[in-house]
Amino acid sequence: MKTLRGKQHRALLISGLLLLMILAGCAKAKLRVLTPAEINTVNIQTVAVGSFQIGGIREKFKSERNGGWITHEIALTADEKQAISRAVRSRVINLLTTTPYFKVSFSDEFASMENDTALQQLVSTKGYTTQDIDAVINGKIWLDIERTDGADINKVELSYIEPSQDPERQMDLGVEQLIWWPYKSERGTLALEIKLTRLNPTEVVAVTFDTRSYAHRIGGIPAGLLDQASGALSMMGGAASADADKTKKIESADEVLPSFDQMVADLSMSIAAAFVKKIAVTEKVVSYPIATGGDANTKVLIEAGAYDLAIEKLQNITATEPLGDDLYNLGLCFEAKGDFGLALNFYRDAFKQDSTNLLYAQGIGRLERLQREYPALRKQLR
Amino acid sequence: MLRQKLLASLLLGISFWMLAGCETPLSQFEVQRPARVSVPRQVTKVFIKRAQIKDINDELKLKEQVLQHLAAQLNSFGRFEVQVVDDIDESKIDREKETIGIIQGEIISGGEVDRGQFTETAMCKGGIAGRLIAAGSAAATDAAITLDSHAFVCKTGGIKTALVEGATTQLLAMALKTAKPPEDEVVRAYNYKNISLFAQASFSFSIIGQTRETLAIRADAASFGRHAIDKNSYRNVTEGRPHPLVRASIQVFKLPTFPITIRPAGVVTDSIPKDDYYANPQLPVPSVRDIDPQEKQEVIKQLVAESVQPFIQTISPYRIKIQTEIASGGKAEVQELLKKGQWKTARERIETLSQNDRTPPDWYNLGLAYEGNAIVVEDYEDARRFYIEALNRDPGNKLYAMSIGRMAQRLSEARKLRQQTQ
Repeated sequence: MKTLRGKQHRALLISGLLLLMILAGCAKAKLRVLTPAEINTVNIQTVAVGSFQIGGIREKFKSERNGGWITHEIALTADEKQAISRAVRSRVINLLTTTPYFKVSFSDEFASMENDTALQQLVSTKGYTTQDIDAVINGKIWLDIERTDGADINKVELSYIEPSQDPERQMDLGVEQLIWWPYKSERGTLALEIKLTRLNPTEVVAVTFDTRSYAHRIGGIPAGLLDQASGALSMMGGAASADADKTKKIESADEVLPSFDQMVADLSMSIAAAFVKKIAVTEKVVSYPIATGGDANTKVLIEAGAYDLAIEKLQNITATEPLGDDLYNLGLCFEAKGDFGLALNFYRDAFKQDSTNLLYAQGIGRLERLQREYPALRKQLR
Repeated sequence: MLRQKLLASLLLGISFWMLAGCETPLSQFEVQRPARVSVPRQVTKVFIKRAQIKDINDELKLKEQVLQHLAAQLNSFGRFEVQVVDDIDESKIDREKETIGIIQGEIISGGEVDRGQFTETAMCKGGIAGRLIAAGSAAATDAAITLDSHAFVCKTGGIKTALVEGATTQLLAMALKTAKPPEDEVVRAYNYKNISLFAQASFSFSIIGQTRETLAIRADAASFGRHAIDKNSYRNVTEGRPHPLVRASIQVFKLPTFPITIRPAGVVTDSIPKDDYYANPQLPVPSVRDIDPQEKQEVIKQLVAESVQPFIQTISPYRIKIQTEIASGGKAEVQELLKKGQWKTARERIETLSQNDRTPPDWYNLGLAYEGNAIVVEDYEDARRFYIEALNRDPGNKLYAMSIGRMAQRLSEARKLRQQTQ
């Protein structure tokens, strides 16, 4: 009994400590960093967006009953296909305009080109009239969407329990039967070829061919008990966060398959994002740890994003008592504000104090990598 | 043993309380944010050209509602004077004297009702206690009830209903002095319909003056989805209770397994849906039978607002509501004033105190009063100054530090806004 209680107390203590650790977490600073384009797009500043030609669109509805399949193909009109093309084009523009790098020119001249051949002809003969365009983006779309209404078959053991005082009459049976479990599913694949063509000199600077797939299924054979438990927990977590966010959100349900247009929108955004990362400088938010051993008040400021005030205080502190962690944090503040030269100096000063500190070494490594990439970044940002 | 159980329950309760969080006093106020794209200041008149808004794929006929909403929202932010017009004769614009804005685009919308049938297992309970518990937990969790061939009450399982039943089963069985209730597991089928609505707005904003230039293009979408189960459609398609002959054979022969050799008994063909739901692949648009017309209008309003908002924020300064915590510990009446948004009065109350008498929460709340009522850059600079004063007197306070960080962002936005509007 004593051993059991002792074990229970230890278990409680360990759980409590774990909880505290999770709750405390690590203090981090959020920084916006610029990543250079993956390919050399120097001298390309103004970009026009041409049309996105339809390579092929297939939409099918399939039904399956007892192994027999029936397929219905949906024939889209020319207008509907053009609407898809415009929707994809708009999503590429959405993403291009968020990067600080390109100026997007919305020229009708290029948008009205029917296909890539017409565009290439216009460009190679310099037949365009729109001025000050450095390059044109255009593309080709292939789309395949399929919705299925089917039924899985699975063996299920149904229980039957009849308790009784008389053991002879007691029953505890498992009855196995083959049951159909209807389901619906949706599967979509979008393939997008996107091309960036420089006008002068005329050359294709970048071409990507990328695909994205989406699949969603509702109904069918039921999940096991563990999946039910994790589903219940995620429902509770979702409810808590919804309470915290007071804005009214539009109702949505996991059991509803997305519409055709919605799927096209989501798939094209994903592919366009990858292309934009390839050709343009992009910005992202990263988190770097704050050194914990220095001044506690300035740590709070850095975590809150109040870099100017943190710099002011840390400069006063490090003038009289330059601790490694304070120097590192000062470097972190300068890095957050984009002053990489000063940031690197402070990281090096911190490293001189403790050359075994991984955090300081990571700061130096990070900025030295940026210096290597920065010539490319600097050229691209001009 | 009882003490340990009480301690465990107490710890569990504390954990839930911590997870739920304490309710902190919050104040809500509007801030003005700059547009993502800076439109030249001389552009004040904007026309939305109906003829240039494509609506071939606008199944829900949202075009006019979208355009009116767009115009109303842009007008409310005060930067532009927006009109929805059928078309505009560009030759009549005196490009030397004025520069106007034009909005063109496309509206795509649609909806569908996707009907179907699902299968699930359910547990049926007999006996008085079993029937009461099953009916009670079904009522508590709003679950659908069916009856098996012996009038056992059947309802679906799952974590939620198991939790509700768990405590009551033992208690009720003990109270009624009955044995454990008999159980029969069944398979049930039910019908559902999935209702979805979708809206997409693609707009371009161009200026026509001495030059013609398109400044922005955006496409954004919003969707609604509801999974509605027809509770009256639940029916049992098979049950675990064996046929009386089989049951008698089992009792006589006492075999651990007993084969079911009759196909209809082993293969439940009633679980196959009778209807081919995709026989007509053009799924119908939701009608009044699928969703209440008033509710549909509300949903459409939300879809329109959500699909148009990013475009508005791209071309026009806009206002949004934000919430931030009020510091407790300062002048009590000030907290109430800040909660109600009475910024000026809150400011006056705090400013009656001498600077030495103001506590850190008073300084913080004074900053909040300035921030809540901020109109110009200088208001945000004052708010920042008071937040710094609070932090100097209570170093390490996260709330004060976060507010200083927030002011850095606000100041940057306010300066950009000043450039766009003045």
